[in-house]
Amino acid sequence: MKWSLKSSSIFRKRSDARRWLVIGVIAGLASTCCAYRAYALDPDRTMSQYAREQWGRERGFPGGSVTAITQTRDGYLWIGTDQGLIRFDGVNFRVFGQASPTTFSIGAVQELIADGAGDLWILLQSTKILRYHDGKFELGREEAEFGITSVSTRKDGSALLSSLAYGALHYRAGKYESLTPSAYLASSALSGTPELGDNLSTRLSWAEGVVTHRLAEPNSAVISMAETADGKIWLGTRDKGLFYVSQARVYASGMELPDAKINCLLAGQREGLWIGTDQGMALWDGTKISPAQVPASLRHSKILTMVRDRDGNLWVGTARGLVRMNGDGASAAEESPREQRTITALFEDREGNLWVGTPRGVECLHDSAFVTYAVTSRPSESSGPIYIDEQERVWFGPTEGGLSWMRGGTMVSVNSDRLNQDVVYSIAGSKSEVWIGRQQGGLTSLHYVAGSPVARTYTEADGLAQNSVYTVHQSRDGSVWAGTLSGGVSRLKDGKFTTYTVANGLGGNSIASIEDAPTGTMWFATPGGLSELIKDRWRTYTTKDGLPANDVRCILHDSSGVLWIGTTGGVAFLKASHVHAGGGDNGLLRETVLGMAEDHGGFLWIVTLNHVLRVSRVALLAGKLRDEDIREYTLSDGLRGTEGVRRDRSVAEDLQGRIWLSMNRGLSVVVPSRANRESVPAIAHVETVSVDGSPVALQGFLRIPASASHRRVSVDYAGLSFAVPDRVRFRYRLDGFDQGWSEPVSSRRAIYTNLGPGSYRFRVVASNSDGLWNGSESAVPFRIEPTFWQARWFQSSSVIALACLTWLLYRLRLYQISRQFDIRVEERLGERTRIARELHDSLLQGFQGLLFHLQAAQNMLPERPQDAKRALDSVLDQGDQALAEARNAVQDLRSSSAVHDDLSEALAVVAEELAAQNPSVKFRVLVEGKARNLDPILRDEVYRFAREALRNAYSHAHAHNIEAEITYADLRFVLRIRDDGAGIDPKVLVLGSREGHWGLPGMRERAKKFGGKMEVWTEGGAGTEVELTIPALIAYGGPSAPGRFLFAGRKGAPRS
Amino acid sequence: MSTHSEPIRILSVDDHPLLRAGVVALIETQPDMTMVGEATSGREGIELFRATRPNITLMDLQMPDMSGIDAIIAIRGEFPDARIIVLTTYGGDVLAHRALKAGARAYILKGMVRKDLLETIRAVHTGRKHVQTEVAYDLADHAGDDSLTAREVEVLALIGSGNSNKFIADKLSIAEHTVKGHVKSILSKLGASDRTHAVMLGLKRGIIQL
Repeated sequence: MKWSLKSSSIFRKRSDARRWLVIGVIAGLASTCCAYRAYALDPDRTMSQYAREQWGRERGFPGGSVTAITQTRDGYLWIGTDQGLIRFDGVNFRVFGQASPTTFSIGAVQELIADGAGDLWILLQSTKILRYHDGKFELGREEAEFGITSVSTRKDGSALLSSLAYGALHYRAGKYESLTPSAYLASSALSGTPELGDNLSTRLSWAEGVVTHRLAEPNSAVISMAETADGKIWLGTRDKGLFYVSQARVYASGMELPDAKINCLLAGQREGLWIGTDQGMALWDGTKISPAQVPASLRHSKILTMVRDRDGNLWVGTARGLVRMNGDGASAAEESPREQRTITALFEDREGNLWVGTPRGVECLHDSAFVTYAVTSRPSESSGPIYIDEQERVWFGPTEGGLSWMRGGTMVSVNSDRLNQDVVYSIAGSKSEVWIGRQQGGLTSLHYVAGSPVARTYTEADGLAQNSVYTVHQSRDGSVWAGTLSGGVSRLKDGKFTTYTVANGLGGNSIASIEDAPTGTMWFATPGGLSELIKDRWRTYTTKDGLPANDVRCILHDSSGVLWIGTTGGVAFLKASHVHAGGGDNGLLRETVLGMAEDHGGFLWIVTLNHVLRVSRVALLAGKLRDEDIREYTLSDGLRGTEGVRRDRSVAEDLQGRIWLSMNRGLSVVVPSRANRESVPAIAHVETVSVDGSPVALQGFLRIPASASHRRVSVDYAGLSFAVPDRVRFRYRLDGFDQGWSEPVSSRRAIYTNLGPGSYRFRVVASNSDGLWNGSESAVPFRIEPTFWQARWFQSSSVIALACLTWLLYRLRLYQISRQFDIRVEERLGERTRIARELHDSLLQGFQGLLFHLQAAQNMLPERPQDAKRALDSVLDQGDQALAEARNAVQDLRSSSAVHDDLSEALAVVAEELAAQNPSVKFRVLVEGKARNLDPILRDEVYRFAREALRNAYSHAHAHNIEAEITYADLRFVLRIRDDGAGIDPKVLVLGSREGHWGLPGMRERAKKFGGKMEVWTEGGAGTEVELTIPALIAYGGPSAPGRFLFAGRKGAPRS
Repeated sequence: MSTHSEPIRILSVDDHPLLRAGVVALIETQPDMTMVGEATSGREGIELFRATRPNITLMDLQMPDMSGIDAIIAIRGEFPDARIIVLTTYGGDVLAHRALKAGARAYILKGMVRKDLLETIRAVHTGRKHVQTEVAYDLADHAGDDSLTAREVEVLALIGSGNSNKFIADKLSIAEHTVKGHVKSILSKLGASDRTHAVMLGLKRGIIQL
C-alpha cells in the first residue's frame, strides 16, 4: 500500500482496477540508469516513476552521514559528511582529507555551497570556512576566519555567510563585507550575558580571545539563511527563531513558527519564504504566515532541508522521508513507512537530477525517457496491439488473449462477446467506436453507451472474408476495413462487406496493415508487397519498385502525406508514387520493422525486432542519416525490453502527443517533447597523469623529467554526466602520438607506454548520458624531457662521433695495410740490396778481376807464351778463389733463408760448418736471459755478423776454444764472440781488411748500419773478444712492436 | 803507342783484391805502363798518391772507408793536375756526373774496359778526357733532370737498405712526415712509381750505391 500524503485521483482510481492488474511501475528497476534532459523531474510522474540510484558503502561511498551536497561549475558533485569532504564524478568518490596545499585537516563538513564565481565554500563543523578554487583550498580570512555557522548564496550568486561575531557577511570581489555593520556594535553595546548553547560554547572557545562572550545579533548561532525577492536576508537561528536583515539592521521576524529552531529556509518562487523548523513547515507569503498552503503532513514534521527544482517542484527532506510538493499536492517518495529514512541534504544538479543525502549515503532521482507499465501478471508480458481513443483510454490486447484498456494507471478488462476468450489481433476506432480484429471471432465493434460497452460482432456469416481478422482500420470515409489472416481484405460500409483478394489485384491475401489518405487512397501491407487502391484501381509496389523486401509489416501515413513502409528488410517510404529506401547503410534500419509512429517534433519512433529507435524524419527523407539523427533507447531509458510485438499498430501516438509502444515486455510511454530536448553535455576532465604509477602534479605546464625508466604514462579522466554515469563514453587522443581519436570507450584511463621525449597533448571528450558527444574537450599538454642521450644535440654529436670513429678506423686500417705492405716492401728491398751487394762484392769483382787477368794473358799471346801460361795459371788460381767466394756468397744467401729463429742454434750450425776446417776447436754457445724474438731483419744481420766473427776466429785465431755468448738483457741485446787464440794484429785491427771479407772495419760498419755497436778487445796470445751491442728498442722491435702485431697479422711476413 | 818515353806510372785504388790483381796483371803486360802502387781504400789511395805521384790513378768508387769520389776530391785538392780515371762497377749518370765534377778525367766501367782500359789510360795520360759511350748516353738522358738533394740521396740510400720511414726518421733525426716528404720528392724527381722502383732507379743511375 502506498503511503500517500494527499491522495490523488490516480490512486483513487487505481483501487478500482486492483482486481485486474497490478500496476507495476518499473522505470529504473531493471537498470539503475536513465537518460537525462536539462529538465527537472517530470512533475506529472508519480514519485515511484522516477528512476533512482543509490550509493552506500557497498558502492564505494566512503561513509558518514551526508550533511550537504552541491555541484561546482566544473561539473563535480561535492558531498559533505560528518566525516569529511567527498568529490564524486559519477563513478568514483574521492575523499579530500586535507586542505592542500596546507596541511589543515578538513574533518566534518556542515554545509557546502558553490557560489557564482565558481568557488566551493565549505563550512566545517569547527565553524571554520574553507574556499576551494582551481584545485586549491584556502582558509577563511579575517572576519570569516572563525565562528561561521552557516553559508548560503545570495540571489546574485555571491556567498552569504553568518559569523557569530560579525553577523551576516557576504563575499564579493575578494572581500568579506558585513551586511549589518552596526550589529556587532549593537551587540557589544548591549549589556547582559550572551546566551550560548552548551555545545556551542565549547565549539566557540576561540571567541574568548576575540570578543568576550559576545555575539553579534541575533545573539545566537544562525544555522540557515535565505534571501527573498524583496531583498531581505533571512536568518534562521538554532534556538531563537527567525530574524531578517533589512537596511543593514537585524530584526526579529516576530512570526508564530512551529519551533524556534529554523533548520532550513527557502525563498518562494515569486515572493514569500518557506521555513523549515524542527517541528514543522511554514510558509510566509510576504505578509503573513499562511498555513493553508502547507500540506498537513508537513505541518508537524521535522523539516531538515528543502530545494526547488527547475520545474517548480518543491522537495522537502524530513526526518521521515522525502516529499515532493507541486500543484498536484504532496507526494512521498517512500512506498511504505518501513522505507522512510532521514533526508539530510537535497540538491538539484545542472542536469536536473535530484540528489538526496541520507545518513547512509547519497541517492539520485531522475526521469527516464520511458515509463513502462506491466500489463499482465502472466508469463508473457506482451501487450499486443494498442489503440488510444479520444477518452485517453489506451486499449491493448495482450498476446495471451483478452482486451483491456488503461487510463491514468487504472486498467479495465473488457469481456463483451467473449473477448476474454479470444486473442485480439488488432484494435482501431474513431470517436466512441472501437473496432476489434479477433483471431477467431471475426470483427467486433464496441460502443460505449452510458459508460458501458455494447458489442456487435461480424463473422463470415455476415460476409466477412475470414474470421481471423489480423488488421482493422477505419478510413476517413467511415468504412471499416478488415484485413484477414489469409482471406484478403473486407470492407464494411453501410452494413455490407465487400471483399478484395489477390484476384482483384491485391499483392497478397494476408493483410498486415491498412492505411488511408485524405484523398481516399488506400494502402494494404501484404507479404507480396504494398498494394495501393485508388478509385478501384490497384497497384502493388514490390522490390522492383525499390522496396527493401516484399513482406510489408506495417505502414504509416504521416502528417505530410508520406507513406512510411516497414518491411522485413527495413524502412522505406512512398512519396509521389515512388518508393525510396530509407535507412541507407544503417543496420538498425534494415531490421524487420514492427511498428512506427510520428511525433510532433519531427521524429519517427520505430520499433524493430530488437530495437527502439527515434529517427529524424527529415534526415530519413533526405537519405542522409548522421549518427545524431538516430537515437536508440534501451533498458536504461525505462524500457523493460526492446523487442517489439508482431501486431498491427503496436506503436501509437495519443492525443497529448505521447508515444505509446507496445513491447514484448510491457507497455511503455514516452513524452517526446521531453525526450527531444537538448541534453546537457558532459564535462570532461583530465584528473591525473601518472608516470610509472606515480601521479604527477597537474599544476602548470607538465614536464615529465628525463629518466630511462619512463615506460608508462597513464591518464585518468572523468566525464561528468550524472544521470546515467555508466553510459558516459570517452574518446581520447594524444597529439604527438595518436593519429586520430580513439573508439568510444567506457574506461576512464588511457595508458601509453614507451613514449619518446617530446611534446604531447592529451585530449578527451565525453559523451553524456544520452550518448551525445556535445561536450567540449579537456586537454592536458605535457612534455617528456629527453634524457641526455635522447637530446638532439647528443644524438647528432653521437652520429658525428661515430662517423669520425668509423673514418678513423678506416684510416687506421688503411695505414696498417699500407704499413704492412711497406714493411714487406722494405724487407724485400733490403734483401735485394743485400743480394746485389753480395754479388757485387764477391762474384762481380772476382769475375772482373779474372777478366783483367785473361786480358793480360791474351795480351801476351802469341809473343810471350810462357808469360801467358803463367798468367793463365794465375787466372785459374784467381778463378778458384772467385768460385770459393761466390760459393760463400751463395751459402750466405741459402743459410740466411734457413736461419733459425733461435740464434744460438743458428750459431751452433755455423760453428759445425766451420769446424770442418779446424776440428780441434771447441765451440759452445752461452745464452743469458730469456731468449726473445729479434726483429727478423736484424736477426739476419746479427747472424751474419756473428758468422763473420766466428769465421775470423776459426780462420785466423788458431784458437782452441771459441765461445759465443748471447745476452738478452732488458735494455740491450749483446752478442760476444771470444776465442783464446792468437789475437789480432793491431795493424789488422786498425786497417781491418783481411782478404776476401769485410774485415773488422766492415763488421763495425755493418753493426753501425743496423744500429748496433761493435767493440773489440784483443791481446796478442790472450785471445780476442768481439762484442756487438744493440739497444733493446732496435733489437726487440721496441715498444711499438705489440702495436704492429695488433692489427697487422704480421705472422710470417718477413720471410718464411 | 810510344815506347821511347817514360812509362806511365799508375796507381790502382780498389778494395777488391781479385780485381786489383787482374788490373795489375793487365798493366804489367804493357811496356809503357807500370804499376806504382795498389791501395785498398780511399784513404790509402790518397797516402799512396802523395808517396808515388802517379801519372794516372785508377779509382774505384765503392770502398769501405771513403768513397772514391771523396778520394778524388781530396787528391785533386792537393794535386790539381792529378789525372784520375774512375774505374767502377757502377753505371749511372749521377755518379758519373759527380765523379767528373769532382775532377775525374775519365769514367769507365769495369765490365766494359777489358780492351779499352789501356787505351783510356794512354788517352788520359796525353791529357784527353774520356767517357764511355754507355755512360755518355746516361748522362745525356738525364741532363735536364732535377737532381736529388743531398738529404734525398741519404733517404734514398736508407730506403735501399730496407729501412722504414720511421727508422729513417730516427736515423736522420728528422720527423717521419719529413721523410715522407723526401720520399715523395724522390719519387717525383726520379719518375719512380714506388719505393722499390726508386731504389732500382737510384742504383741504376748511381745516385746510391750498394
